[in-house]
Amino acid sequence: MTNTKSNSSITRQGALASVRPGVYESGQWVAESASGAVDITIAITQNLNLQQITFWQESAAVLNQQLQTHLGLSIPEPLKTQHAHGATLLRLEPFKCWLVGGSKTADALSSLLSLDIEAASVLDLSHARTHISISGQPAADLLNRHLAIDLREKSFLAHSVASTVFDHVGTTLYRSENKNGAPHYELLLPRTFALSLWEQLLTSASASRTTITHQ
Amino acid sequence: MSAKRLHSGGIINRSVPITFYWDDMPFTAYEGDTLAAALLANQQTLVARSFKYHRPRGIMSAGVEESGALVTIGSGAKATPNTTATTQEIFEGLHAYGQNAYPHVRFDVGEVSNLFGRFFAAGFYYKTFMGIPPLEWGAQWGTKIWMWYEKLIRRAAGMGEASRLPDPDSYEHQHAFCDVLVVGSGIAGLTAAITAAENGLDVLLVEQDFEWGGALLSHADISQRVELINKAESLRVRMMKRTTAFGLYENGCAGLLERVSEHLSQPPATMPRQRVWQVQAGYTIVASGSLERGFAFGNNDRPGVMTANAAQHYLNRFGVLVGQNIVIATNNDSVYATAIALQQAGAAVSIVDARADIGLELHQTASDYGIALYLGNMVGNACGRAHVNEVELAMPYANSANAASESDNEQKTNGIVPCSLYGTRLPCDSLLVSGGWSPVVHLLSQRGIKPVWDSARACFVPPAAHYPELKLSAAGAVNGLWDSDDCIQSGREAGLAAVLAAQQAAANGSNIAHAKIKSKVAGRGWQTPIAPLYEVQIVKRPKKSFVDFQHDVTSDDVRLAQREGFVSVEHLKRYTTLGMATDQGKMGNVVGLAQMAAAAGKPIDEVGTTTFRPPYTPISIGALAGRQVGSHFRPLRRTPLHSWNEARGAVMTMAGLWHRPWYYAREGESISDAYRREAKTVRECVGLCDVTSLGKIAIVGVDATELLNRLYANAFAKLPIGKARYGVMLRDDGIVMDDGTTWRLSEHEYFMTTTTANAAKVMAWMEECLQTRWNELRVHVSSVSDQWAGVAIAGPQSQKVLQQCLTNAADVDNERCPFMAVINTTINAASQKIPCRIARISFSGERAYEIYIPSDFAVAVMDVLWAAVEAAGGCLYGLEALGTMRIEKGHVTAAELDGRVTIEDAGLGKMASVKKSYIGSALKNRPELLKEDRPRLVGIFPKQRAQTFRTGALLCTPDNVKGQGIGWITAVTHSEVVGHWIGIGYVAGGHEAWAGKTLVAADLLRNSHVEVEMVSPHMFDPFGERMHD
Amino acid sequence: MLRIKCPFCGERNHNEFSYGGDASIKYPALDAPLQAWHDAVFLRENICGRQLETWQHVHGCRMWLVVERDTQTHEIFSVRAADEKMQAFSQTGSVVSLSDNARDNASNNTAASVAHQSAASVVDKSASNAANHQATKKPPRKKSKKAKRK
Repeated sequence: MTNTKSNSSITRQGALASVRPGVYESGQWVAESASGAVDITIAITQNLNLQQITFWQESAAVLNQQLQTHLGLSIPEPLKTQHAHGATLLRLEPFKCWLVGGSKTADALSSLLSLDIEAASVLDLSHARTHISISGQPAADLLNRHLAIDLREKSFLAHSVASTVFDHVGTTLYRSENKNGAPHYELLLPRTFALSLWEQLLTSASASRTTITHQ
Repeated sequence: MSAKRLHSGGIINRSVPITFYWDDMPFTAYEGDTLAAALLANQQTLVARSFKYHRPRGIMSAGVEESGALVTIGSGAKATPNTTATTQEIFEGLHAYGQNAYPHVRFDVGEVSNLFGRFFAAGFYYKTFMGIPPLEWGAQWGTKIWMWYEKLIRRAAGMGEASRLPDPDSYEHQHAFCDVLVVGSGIAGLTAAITAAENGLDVLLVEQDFEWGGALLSHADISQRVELINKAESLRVRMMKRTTAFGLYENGCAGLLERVSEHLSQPPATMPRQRVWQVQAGYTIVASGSLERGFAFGNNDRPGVMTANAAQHYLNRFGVLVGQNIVIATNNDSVYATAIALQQAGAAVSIVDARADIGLELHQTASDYGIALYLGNMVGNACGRAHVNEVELAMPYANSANAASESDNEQKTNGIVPCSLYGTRLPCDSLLVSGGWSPVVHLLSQRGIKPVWDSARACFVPPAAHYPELKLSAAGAVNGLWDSDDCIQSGREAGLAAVLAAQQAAANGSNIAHAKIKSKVAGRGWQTPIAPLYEVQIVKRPKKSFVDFQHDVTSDDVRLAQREGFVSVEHLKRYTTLGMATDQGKMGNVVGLAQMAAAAGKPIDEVGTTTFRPPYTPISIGALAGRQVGSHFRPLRRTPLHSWNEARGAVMTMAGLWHRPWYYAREGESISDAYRREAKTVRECVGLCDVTSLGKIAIVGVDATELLNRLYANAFAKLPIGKARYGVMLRDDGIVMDDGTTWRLSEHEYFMTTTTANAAKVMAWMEECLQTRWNELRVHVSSVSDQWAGVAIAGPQSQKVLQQCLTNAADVDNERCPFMAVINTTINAASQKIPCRIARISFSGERAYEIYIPSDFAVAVMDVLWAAVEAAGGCLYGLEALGTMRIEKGHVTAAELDGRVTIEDAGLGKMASVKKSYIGSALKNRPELLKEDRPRLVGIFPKQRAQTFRTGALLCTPDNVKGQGIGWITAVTHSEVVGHWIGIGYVAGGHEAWAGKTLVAADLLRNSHVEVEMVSPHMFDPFGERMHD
Repeated sequence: MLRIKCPFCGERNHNEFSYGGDASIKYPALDAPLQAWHDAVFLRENICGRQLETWQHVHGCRMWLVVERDTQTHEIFSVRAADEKMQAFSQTGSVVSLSDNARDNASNNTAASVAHQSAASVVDKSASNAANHQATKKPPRKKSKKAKRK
């Protein structure tokens, strides 16, 4: 049976759709113009495209070829990500990867689907996770209020990924290339916990000046 | 009472005066003061009343070991009792209060208890009040009376009072990682941090004080301190002040408490009060220093008595001279530098040294500075009521005339020296005491390192400086090193040990062969050895002398405990409460142990010491809770329809971490009205229910069918594509694990639903089977619980209503969608076709469809479904109505599948396949599980139909209403369709065994018994005609 | 804080893991006699010292692990994936080396033919499963030996 394809023409209502965009500081929403300085930027992704790709030891080579051909990606090493054309491939389990974002993944996925189910299978998880990206100098400190991953510069470089617990809830964190010279992290929260975790994150962020946007 | 602030000296900022309030009286302090320093500078020396005897107490130290000056900071909800004034940083508007006194600490009516002090020895209350009066009343009455007395006693004794209001402060947690954690910023800690950082390691240095330097802060010369701090900062050592390492745990984990805003007069609202850090360190260096201790002598708790080092600290850090006329009582060399500093600052100093011989050099130096020396003498008694004004000197009793043989005498007495007061009195306004130094071995002890007694240095020391297998080193005075050059060398050595460990880890991974490192630092010690001295025991004129000031434990209490048989240190501790107050015996423990050893006639090392446990200093419960308070006590799991449900009047109930609609109350309805209406509407018309919380698992792979066939007790091998099947899973031991439906989507793809409660468990179980038992099976399992929102539409009108919403109404025709069929279709919502997955399955017993919608579309689809349901006269229904309908049908939930029942017990035995083997198929045939009289699922009716009965009641035969009965009731509801209250539960042998008989539903706790009849669990529509076509 | 070095994720806090049970047990075949299952399920050692136990990295890579741990000291001596295929595929470089091998073996084969090969093996396997099912109901794994404890 087919997976539900992400279709941009349908309005999706994510778990954080009701979160107000703006600038948040000292526990209050403030005018954006008050001061130019912003410590942390949190962007909530509205129409997440998240496809799980599963494979087996014997089919890794085939899958790799397909990924190379259609997406310019290959299966990442453990704890690593690969990024091309706006899509990021995360290696989460020995035989499971997640493909996050990207608009041109449809072809690749249909090609993967055409592989025998023994070789690889694709599962749509676009609605199962809530994606937010967090950038800024204090971002690592903010994340470390909630998760126990060593985010020191030397330990968690760009293109690293870790599945861990965020206030006891299983969560995936990965790091992209720096944004405006500051570290840039991305979080995938389980959708049904997302609002609860968001409330916690925002409380911790209130010590910094935080800009919240929907993307 | 002539402590005073000097015009110069110290590292306080005299240009920033600060007003603070002591018992609501305003006083002036300077930036950089502690509360204790500010109180001393303002001649406030009587600052507390003791725990039991309400004796006046003053400031006894200058640090965390303080056991006299316990005060309450702030008032109302923000009041923090039992704060040590010696560590409290001063800030503008600080309010501090004396505690355990009425009306105030300077005049306390409770002091009368001191007169009866001789009665209040250890164990006094228990011995006196338990079991009286009169004894003949027996244990039961005696205990009650004790409990009555206890309330009075507790009121009279005590420390500060905690606020009973909710904590208005916020706290948070933080994780951090470092190569090296250094605890303590004294000379050794700073050196260790610098050494490690110079070698490229990432170092985190923590200091409990609000100034760096540790013991260096007591030095008049600040250059060395400043130089080391600058160097550490330039090497990018991460440095945290006001941060206590309260616990060291396994695998390099440390707990830190950072006091974030307690020193601020107006902290920003969002700033937490404290922050708990959980640090993961590659290597840990404990440079926690040592603490000066006193010794026991008569009235050694008088205000004006403090440790010698504290006086030096107040002088050199705060510019406060603790007295004009100072007597120092000692048994070691460390006080001489203090004496000189005080003398130079303008005080007249006398030293009373227990040692007859202190060496020529010290003797000469003291004379040069004009310090009066009383060698071979001890202070036997401190005189004065509210403040010390005179000391009485004492000499060893046996041979007070012969000072030369004193050392032999002490060895024999183990530092407990019987003395006589021979008449010499020294007037003074301050008495400084040094009975030696105790290394702060607490953190090492927490890691399982047992300190050993070093009789030469008269202290417990760690057995070694380096523990490569624990990735831990001890640096500086914690090793019993008193010389600053030794401490520097020790710090450097510890830093290099951390570097070596990092290099080994990099070279060999984590399984390194730990190279044994032996410390080369010998420890120069003092010129003249310390003379052990723990207690000056005045013969014939006994005086009250204290060992543990916070808990008012005296020397006599320790001996009493020993006489009464509490010979182990752990028993001593619990009987006398020695070392159990907020200071955890930092000053008193060694003295108490020495007294215990002497009383038992053993050396101290045979008595041993108690094990120190976290936290090193008190830590607020709020800090441990962090942000997980109130509504964030645990994470809340919301379905995508959460707000939608709330907007339509749903009252929520907890289901694990989920909030689920319990019922949708209409105007004026109670919960019973609401659920009865909802159930009735579903049975007669149609209803809509959010069932998102069910677990959902995607199963994909060529062996998916085989996997299901092994996991489920019923057959799955021949489930057609496009069909769902109800399945029951057993555990290895043959007991039911979970139930749910599994839908076959294609040849190799399935969609499984589980109960809400077991969603995570079933997922982990499938992974366990695939990875640990059957790794030849090619199956991937993935949780899709969050991907799909689930809605059940149930009732006679459900098909018609659903058809109105579908793009293609024919998709749910009886032909295309018969009972248990699965279809993929679309629902028209917001002029879009929204994909959804529908199965015609029923929990309510009505014709029903479970619709799964991608979560982000759930609200749009629900709007459409609800509009159609509402138009048809239907309703939204919650968990309570769902419960009613499933009880009517005898469908089981987690309440029935409680981990004790077999598939037969649950009435599902016919489903179990006899043609295949599956998990649990062997052990479900254990003889005990096959017995005919096992409790089986039954329906329950009240004999008098108007009556009700309770969930949880036991089922008993009328002639034997006691004990465990012969069954139990798992759920009860009022059934509109049956016409009265009904229940389900288990009874021995099942309903057939009790046909025509009456049992009692016994609620033994509430003593309410109702006669009931056992019926088939299928109490409504037993043949399922309503859910089929 | 117990720290477990997951073969896939690296060293993590124990609160990411959940404890399973005794890893030294060899569970009998599903159709093994009651006694064999009884022994495997109910006869357990209460070891003071080193024991093999299963843990799942439930909030990480979700792998089931075999952990050798001292029950007295908490010291962990070894951690490996319970499934050797996963263990092999958890190492850095495993994807690359495997891809290379596969390419060497396949030499001129196209991706499609490799896919075809694996599909063929699938057919064989399901056929044998079906045969098993019809004939003896015996699952492929034949380890019905009574569990022996070291």
